Amino acid sequence: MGRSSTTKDAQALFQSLRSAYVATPNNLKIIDLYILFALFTAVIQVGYMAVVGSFPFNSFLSGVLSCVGTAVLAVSLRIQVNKDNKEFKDLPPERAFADFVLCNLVLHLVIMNFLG
Amino acid sequence: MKVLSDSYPWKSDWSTMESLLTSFVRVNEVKQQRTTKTNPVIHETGEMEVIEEVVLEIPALTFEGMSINEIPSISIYQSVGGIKEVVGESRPKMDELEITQLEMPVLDESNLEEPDLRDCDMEFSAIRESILEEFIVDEQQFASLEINGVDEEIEMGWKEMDTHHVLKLRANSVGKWLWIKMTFVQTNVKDLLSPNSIDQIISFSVFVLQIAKDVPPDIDVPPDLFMVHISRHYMELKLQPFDTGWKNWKRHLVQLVSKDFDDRWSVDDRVQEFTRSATRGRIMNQVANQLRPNPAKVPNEGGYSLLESTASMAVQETPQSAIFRHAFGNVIAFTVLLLIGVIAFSIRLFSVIKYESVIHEFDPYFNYRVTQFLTKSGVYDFWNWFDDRTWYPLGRVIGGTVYPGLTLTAGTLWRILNSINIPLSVETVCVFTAPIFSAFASWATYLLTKEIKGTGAGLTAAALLAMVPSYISRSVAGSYDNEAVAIFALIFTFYLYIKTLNTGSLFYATLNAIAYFYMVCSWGGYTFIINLIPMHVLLCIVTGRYSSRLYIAYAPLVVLGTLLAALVPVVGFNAVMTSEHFASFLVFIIIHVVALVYYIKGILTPQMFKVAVTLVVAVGLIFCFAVLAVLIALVASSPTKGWSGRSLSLLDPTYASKYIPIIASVSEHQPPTWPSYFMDINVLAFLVPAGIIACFLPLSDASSFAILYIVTSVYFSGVMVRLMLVLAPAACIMSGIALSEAFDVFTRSIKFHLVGATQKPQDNVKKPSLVSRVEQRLLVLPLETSLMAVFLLVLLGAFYVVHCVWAAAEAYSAPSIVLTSRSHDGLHVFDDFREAYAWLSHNTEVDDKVASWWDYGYQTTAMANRTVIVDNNTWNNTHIATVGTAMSSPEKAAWDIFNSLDVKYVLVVFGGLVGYPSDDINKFLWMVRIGGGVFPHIKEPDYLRDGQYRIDNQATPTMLNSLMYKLSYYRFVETDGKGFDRVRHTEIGKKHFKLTHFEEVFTTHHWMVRIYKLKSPRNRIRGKTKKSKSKSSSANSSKRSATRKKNPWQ
Repeated sequence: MGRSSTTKDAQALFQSLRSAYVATPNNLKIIDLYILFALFTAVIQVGYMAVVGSFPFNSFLSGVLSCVGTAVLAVSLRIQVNKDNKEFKDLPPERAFADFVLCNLVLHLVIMNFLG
Repeated sequence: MKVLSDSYPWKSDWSTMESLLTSFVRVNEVKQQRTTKTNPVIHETGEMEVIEEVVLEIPALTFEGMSINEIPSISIYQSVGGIKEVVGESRPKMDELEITQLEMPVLDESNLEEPDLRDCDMEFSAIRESILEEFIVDEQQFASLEINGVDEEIEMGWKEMDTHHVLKLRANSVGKWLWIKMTFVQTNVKDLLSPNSIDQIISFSVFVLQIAKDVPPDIDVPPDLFMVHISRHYMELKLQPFDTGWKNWKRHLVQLVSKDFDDRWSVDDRVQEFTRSATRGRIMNQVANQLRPNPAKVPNEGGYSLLESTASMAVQETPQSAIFRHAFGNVIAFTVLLLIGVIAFSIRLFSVIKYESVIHEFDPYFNYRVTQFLTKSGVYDFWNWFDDRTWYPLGRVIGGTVYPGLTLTAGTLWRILNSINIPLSVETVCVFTAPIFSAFASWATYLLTKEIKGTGAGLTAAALLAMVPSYISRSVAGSYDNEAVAIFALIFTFYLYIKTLNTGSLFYATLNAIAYFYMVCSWGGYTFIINLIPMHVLLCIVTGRYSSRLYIAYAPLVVLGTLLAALVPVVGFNAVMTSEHFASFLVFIIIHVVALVYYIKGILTPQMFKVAVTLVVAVGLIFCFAVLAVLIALVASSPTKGWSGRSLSLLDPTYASKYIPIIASVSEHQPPTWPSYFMDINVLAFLVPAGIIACFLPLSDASSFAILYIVTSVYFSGVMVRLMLVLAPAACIMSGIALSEAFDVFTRSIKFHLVGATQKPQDNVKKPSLVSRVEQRLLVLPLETSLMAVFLLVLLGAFYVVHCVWAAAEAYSAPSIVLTSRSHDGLHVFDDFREAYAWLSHNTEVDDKVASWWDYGYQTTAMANRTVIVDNNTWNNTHIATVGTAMSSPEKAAWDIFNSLDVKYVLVVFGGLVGYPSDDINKFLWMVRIGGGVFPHIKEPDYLRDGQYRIDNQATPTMLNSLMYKLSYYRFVETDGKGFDRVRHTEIGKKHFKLTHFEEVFTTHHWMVRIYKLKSPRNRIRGKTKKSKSKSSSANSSKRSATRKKNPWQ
């Protein structure tokens, strides 16, 4: 009884999650995809490190942090361009994107320097 | 359905009120509501803590009209300290509704002169936009409205402003509540209870709904509950319709009102009138005006005329004066900042004026030497610099072990100056780096405090920081040390963090990471930042202040900051390997989880979210435990549990004294004494608590950061006197806030008295009701008190300035390589250190090694350019212990140790002749301790007589035979015949002795530095082998090898 109600709840939850997510605009979905891709790359690198070893530690570190940093910055961008987010309604999406590019530029300059 | 036909709500009496209520009340639901004596108002935000409240409770209201006799009751509760008592209870019969006479004066005009348009004109356009945007949208987005006319930020929730009108208006259809909050000047409850006020509340609901415009055609389902909540500081109206009835109900109310006034006024006029009356002509009036560019005719009716005139007066003077005031204010602020910079720079020049333009103390000499190398050889050679002049025979990789921020800064400064043909020497640039950066630091303080509490507090804090003694002690001209630039970097990083937090801009987040990089370059104290900011983030999350701005301020900083920190060679992989940084990663994970939760909460309906929470909690807990276990394993597996000795000694103040004597031996690592607080931050110590209180009113993200900063830095300063430097900016910020708030209150009171007295003297005579007088007293302080308080505050400031100038001039300007003393026969200058170093550089070979206690290592390499064994970078404890052992050993053993290290000269500092207290004899016990820590045959009790450290004839033989004693007091008795030590104030124990293995080569003018040369082994052998020449060489060599084996350092 409890189990069936739990699964029912879970089903309903996924249903509503999906329906809520379908409603998000396409540009946000693209950003989501980008974030997922970055995270996936990070996971691959961590897996590789676990199998092979972390010898050039700075390379490993810069690889993983590049992915994580990209994901974090994309999340920030997503927060800023999200129309539902009242906190950033004054911020034009162009400005948000310019900031995003600048931050990425700094991040990857640092990473190139650190890559060794 | 009944629509009111009376002139609601313009007639301000209870009958109107009742007729209104009558139209709302349905009788059959009354009973159960009546039994509920407790206040049924649900505080959604949970923020409403009121001391005294009166609840007018009208249960179970509907639109079905009833006759007046059917109204069950209107109860008015007053709750004092949580206990409710019934102030009045009205029966529907008219005679019992005389409740108005229960000491409830009508709205008092004395409150009307309060409108203070200073603040609100700035935010006004923002308010207007928020209304327009929030309300003229479809039903789904009709989420919330809040108008807040005084505070900068328009945020949800209730703000208590003691001295302001605050109007808060909030409608929320998602939670099926509509509530409107108005906050007034500390109005008495009884005032608020006047019929006028009730009208106003209802008017407001109408106003809101009128703006909301979304009116569906059919009206069927009535609202469930209608409630008015009035407290000391605010009034609140809540309407809870049924889910489906919301729209209908809204339309009904609009109809209800518009029916009444169609003949005379347009809806807009009514809105204006409502709002004007309700807010006593302040904020909402402006809102109404802005909504409608052409204000229509201003109706004059009844008791509202005065309100109107006040309001229109206020509106008239707003635009022009505001522009002038702001332009003028900006110019003044800029000038003041410039002057603050000049003060910060010039107050630090006492050392140059009183002594000379010279580098101070110990560490600055090393930095100076590194800078010289940098300017001579360039950056790339600097990174690869292996210094063979120190830590002989080990050497030291300078490029990889030094925080390069300071030297790079000064080097760049020098390069720029030279490229524009200002030929300054490197030394001059180094001397003046610290004063320049303290000016920058005070400007950074201005920016930070401005973000926290506004311009006034910013200027005050900057002025205080420009001359806080604690910071002066580290940044006088010539004190060329890391802290000089690090404090600027620290404050600036905090500023950018707060700025990012307030704006949510990725641009500032990037700048923040770069500023953090500069801080990492500059000082090991960067760990303070990377722990304090996560602490603040955690605090925000725990107290429910999470916002997406917080995410943007924190998450990019961690990633970028970690990478940038790893770029600095001295930090390197420590940025991800040591426990100092783990807190930031942990919080990094936490903030992502929280962000995800908030996101899901945003897209799900509340019911579904509840389901999700119950589902996730079980899984989430297990996951959290797993993460925690992994983290603990990581920490446990890292070397020294990931903590460095200095950090551990911060967390456990007794750690250093127990395990690491080399940290404990430095005087600036000792806990401070109480007088040193007064000396270093002076009156700020008393102002800080006031500043903390001011930060709580109201508590914002930024001010909570300031509180966290002061609390942690107070703790750290209590552990280590050196960290007083971190406390100083926090104390300045807090005191700046406190002073500025205090001045604000007092000057406003003075202005109120001066302006108010001339404007309406007759009003005060006419209406001397007790209530209004009490109110005024609450609002403003008496004139005399205010004047007196302002005078005292200025006096306090003057005292602070005098103390700071004294501290800068007398206490903290001594360069410590040149000493002066004032006595009855004039000024004495002791320049012995430079004399000795000059002797060394002129009279010894370039490659000779000089042994001394580590304090003088940096100076010897920088000034005498000779190789030293140990220096102030105490990276190798064993090496220092070797020197300590040599100094505590008898002459011969010491000679062996020194000889094995290729030492040619031994330098000791001796203050016994002139009374210079920080000489080597006073440091000797530390040498014993540090030496004994590595070589157990040196035991501290051997040097103490009954636990007392003494050098007179009671001293132990070990003490009297130690090398340090002999080198210090050799020939000392020849000075006065008695051998009286002026530091220890005793006669020395062993007066006449000869040195066998060392010979004196140089003693400075005041005997402060004495240099000895190791006798060469050949001479010694010749002297000894006079008797038996034959077996000289073999015996001696075997003997020497034997002694070597016994030598502890091998």
